[in-house]
Amino acid sequence: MFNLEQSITEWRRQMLAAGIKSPVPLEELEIHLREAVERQIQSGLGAPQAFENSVQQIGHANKLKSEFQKTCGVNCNAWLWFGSFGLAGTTILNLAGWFVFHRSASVFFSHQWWSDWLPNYIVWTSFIIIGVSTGFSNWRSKRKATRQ
Amino acid sequence: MYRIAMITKELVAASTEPLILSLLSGGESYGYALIQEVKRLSGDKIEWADGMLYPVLHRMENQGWIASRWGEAENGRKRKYYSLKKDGKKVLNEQREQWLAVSEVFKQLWKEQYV
Repeated sequence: MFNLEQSITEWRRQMLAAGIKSPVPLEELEIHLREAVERQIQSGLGAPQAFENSVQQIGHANKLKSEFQKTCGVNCNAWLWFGSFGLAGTTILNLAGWFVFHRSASVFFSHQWWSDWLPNYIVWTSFIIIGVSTGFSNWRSKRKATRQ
Repeated sequence: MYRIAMITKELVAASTEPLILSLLSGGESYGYALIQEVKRLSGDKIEWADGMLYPVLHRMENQGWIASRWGEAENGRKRKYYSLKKDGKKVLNEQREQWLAVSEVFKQLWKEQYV
């Protein structure tokens, strides 16, 4: 016998398997699916047919995934924020280590600094580079869309 | 039997953003309602693939044209509402001018040719 909840769970599993892993799009799609099914049932359709129609109307998971990828995820600025805070924090700690605690490893470009501190700087700077390039790409697409 | 000519995929894609902006200029709304409203207004000639609307909404949100908030539907279910932002109004005005210009050209052309 058809079980709507079970069918929705299975549909959700298929979406996850296809790569729609961000919680917001998936939750929104599920809310839409439930509403579409409910409306069709109210208009007299049987639950299995209403579910089938709604799933088809929402579209194939792979196609949806590629469309969502174009939106650049949940928060495009997250990389930039993480990177900036990380870099600022690392610099403060590095300076504190040098001037307050007088640790030899904290002296910029000293022998130990390269292995102890440089990896941190590289990681946070990479975050900033990703954030800036994503932001630039968004700005370009926004400009293009506005001009169209 | 007379069959309603569906609007081509390309034209639907090109008109999606201005349609969403126009619909939201009348007040906040949510995905399912936006789809139904477009279907109704177009006399079923414009049919969006339901799932495809959400990536467009998210992209428009990232571009700063629209804002979203989680709210509650009458039945208590969670629902995401979208509303137009200042930048979106600006884009809508620009797009409206462009679509009206194109429409005006067609009107003139077809008036000369067929009337």
